[in-house]
Amino acid sequence: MLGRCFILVVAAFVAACTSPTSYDTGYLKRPLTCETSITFDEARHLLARTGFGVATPAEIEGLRPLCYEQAVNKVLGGVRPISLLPPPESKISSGEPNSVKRVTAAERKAYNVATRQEMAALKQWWIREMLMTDSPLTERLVVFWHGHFATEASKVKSSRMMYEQHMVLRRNALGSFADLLSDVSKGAAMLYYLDGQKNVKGRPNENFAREVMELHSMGEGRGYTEQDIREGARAFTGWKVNAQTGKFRFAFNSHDRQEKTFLGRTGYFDGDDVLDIILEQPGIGTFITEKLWREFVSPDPDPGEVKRLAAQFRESGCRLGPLLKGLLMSRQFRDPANRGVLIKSPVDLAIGTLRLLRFSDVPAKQVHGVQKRLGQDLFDPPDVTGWRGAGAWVTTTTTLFRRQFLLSVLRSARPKATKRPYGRPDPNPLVAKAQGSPEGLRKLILALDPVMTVSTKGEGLKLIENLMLDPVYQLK
Amino acid sequence: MKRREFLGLAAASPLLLSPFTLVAQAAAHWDRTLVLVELNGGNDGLNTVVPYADPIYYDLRPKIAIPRDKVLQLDEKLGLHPSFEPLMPLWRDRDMAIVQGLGYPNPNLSHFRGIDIWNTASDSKEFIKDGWLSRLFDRYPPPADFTANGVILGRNVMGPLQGSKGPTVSLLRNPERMLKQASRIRRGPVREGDDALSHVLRKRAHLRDAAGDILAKRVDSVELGVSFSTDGITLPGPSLGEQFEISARLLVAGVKTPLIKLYRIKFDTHADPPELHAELLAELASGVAAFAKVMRAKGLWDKVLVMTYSEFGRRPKENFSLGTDHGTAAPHFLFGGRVKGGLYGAQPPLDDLDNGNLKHRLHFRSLLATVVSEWWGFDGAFFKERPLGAIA
Repeated sequence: MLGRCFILVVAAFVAACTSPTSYDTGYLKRPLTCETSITFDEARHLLARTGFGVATPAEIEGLRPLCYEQAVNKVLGGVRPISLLPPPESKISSGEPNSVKRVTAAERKAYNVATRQEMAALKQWWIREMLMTDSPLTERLVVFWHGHFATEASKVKSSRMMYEQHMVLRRNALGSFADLLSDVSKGAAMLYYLDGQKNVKGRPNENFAREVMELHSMGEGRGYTEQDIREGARAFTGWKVNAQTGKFRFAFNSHDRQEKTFLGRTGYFDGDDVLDIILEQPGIGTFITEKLWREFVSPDPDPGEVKRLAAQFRESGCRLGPLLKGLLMSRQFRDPANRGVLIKSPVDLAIGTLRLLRFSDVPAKQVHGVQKRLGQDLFDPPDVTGWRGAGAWVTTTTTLFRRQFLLSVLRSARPKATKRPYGRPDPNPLVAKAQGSPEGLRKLILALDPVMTVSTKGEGLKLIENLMLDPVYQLK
Repeated sequence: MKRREFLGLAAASPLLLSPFTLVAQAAAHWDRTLVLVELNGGNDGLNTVVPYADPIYYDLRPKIAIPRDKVLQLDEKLGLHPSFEPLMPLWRDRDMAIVQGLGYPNPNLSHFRGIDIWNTASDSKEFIKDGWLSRLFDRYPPPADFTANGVILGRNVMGPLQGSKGPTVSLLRNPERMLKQASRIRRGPVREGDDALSHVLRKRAHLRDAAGDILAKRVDSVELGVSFSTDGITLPGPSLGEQFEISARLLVAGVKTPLIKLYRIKFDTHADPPELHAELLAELASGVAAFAKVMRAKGLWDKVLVMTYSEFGRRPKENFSLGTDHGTAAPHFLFGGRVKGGLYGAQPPLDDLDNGNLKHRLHFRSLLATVVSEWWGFDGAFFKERPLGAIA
């Protein structure tokens, strides 16, 4: 296609982030040796921020022989593109939801019931993976991208599509942003969710073209116009889902083959060209860097540091690994003033607490119920913008629900508990720590000093309860 | 001691103690409540208030236009969506205002940015952190015996109260049960500041205080005598019916708050069958109608103002998916015993579009100014736009 040739020529002259890449881990090779080993507080902070808001004594011990950068490398190096637990693929019905015409109300109802059951299986599988993984960062990244490239199972109405998108997020979570953007954009879930399927020549539907720029890549109001959205929508016409396979297909006859002018360039562009042009924009990376900053570092991205990291990101061909390493190595991430300045997400609070208290045989369904009540129903973000995070996690309502969850977990950790809705806990290592060093336990469980007048004289479990019920435990 | 941060703030700020402020505050109608309904996703204004006499409307929407014989005629040009039937008695009683063509220059068609502009009352390219009601209540703090500056229903979305450091409380399902549990929490300290810990502590204190207040009002034993159920409507998410019912319960019990905010998802009808929009409007209409019935019966209809808003309207021309893409100007509604019913603003002409979108005829801040100065009686200069003269 003409557009493709045009872009190839242009691409040779700009620092683009479109180069294909494998999961390159070269950036994790150094340093081989270093002198100062990581402190307890730094190890805890690194683990809590890259994990579920907590660090277990064993995880901290695992980092202690290393220096800070080696510890960062170890955490990043643990990220894997596949899950530990085999996904429940056999439970996900194959095919595409519209390939079979469901004419009667009973047929439609049966399909909806099956889809809901399959989604429940997927959600619970993901929760089990989070509870047992040795790389919490992998899961944090998948959740992050899921919120970033938000799709809702309740609108997509296909467990197969949601499953496949989830695998795309997993595969590319710390790889090339270009691959991630392209694979998600061509995924059936996104094409259905943002009505790309319905975007055809002569009658464009702008939903997808708008969100791909505003929410997925460039950021709202950053260098594109309403006209670019219209032109972009024309370029994306013909991107469809094959009704038989549920996979991407380019429907040539639905594609608008006329010339388009998009972000200042003119050509016979298709959807691939548009994504390439987006990734060649000089400001690309700023939005993603800021968003990752808010997720991992602090609520207020430092403009100078963001600029530096975003430039590095573009030069690396938009590799996410080096970008995240840059964030974790930044002065701001390591600044003690930035500890305890982020609010734990519902996933953090539920998974982190259960991991810290070493719960086993956890009923994933119960945990899903908690996360949903706290406002983070995985596979069902609130809307196209994903979870707002930060202060939005804690409202008067969720303040109460968060506390009820913690009370219930802590009660079931008591030796004489009659109800154990979250499985079997093993708080003994923490209890031992409480008896040995109450102050050490405080530094393990909380990112800051407690605000309620908590007596640190409490013995064992009582002290753990006091610390976890303190408002500071909501922070990481 | 509740509300301490507010009183502290007032004492510290010379601005708030100026004689002018005190006069304005003394005149404020704090016994009046705004019931704000967010139609999330961008309501299709043209299929809500329908220019049924305009052939261009039918040309632009061959598949999804409301047929002429189905609209509820208001005059020789405009009619309402048939789902608004339950509102017709309010229209005839002149307790319903239709404010047409609301928008602003250089409209933004992003959901996120669009609602932010409405929530903060900013210009298109202006970024304001706090919501317009947060700013209003910073300048004119509600009385100390108020339960909250806002009660948030439906979904935990603060809207125009975003950034508020004053007390707000969100009540989702089973509010009474929730409040009983909340009343057992230790209140804890409160701190000034925008940081995460201050936020967590504030929410905890607001929850504890509001729970105590609302429980003392015996909200659970209020008898409304009106059904808020919407038979046959099966939309996802908390319904407006249940949210209006909670609102009525709170107000009848005497809970004091200047704002109750309701939230309805699903208005982003890019590719939804027109029946979905019809159900959404039906839910809104029956909710308002039942709410009005209770308020009238309890003598509170003059004390409440129901107002709708949304991030934008939708594109006049339908798309290929039996839907409409993001658009610009749209009509919104005011209901209440003090509302001077009728049409305000003007319907944007369909033969004079800007890149396929409607040109607004009335700045949306005129609607907000109406609430600020005509409803509550605050300083008319809070917004530079003139109020509508829609409140008696």
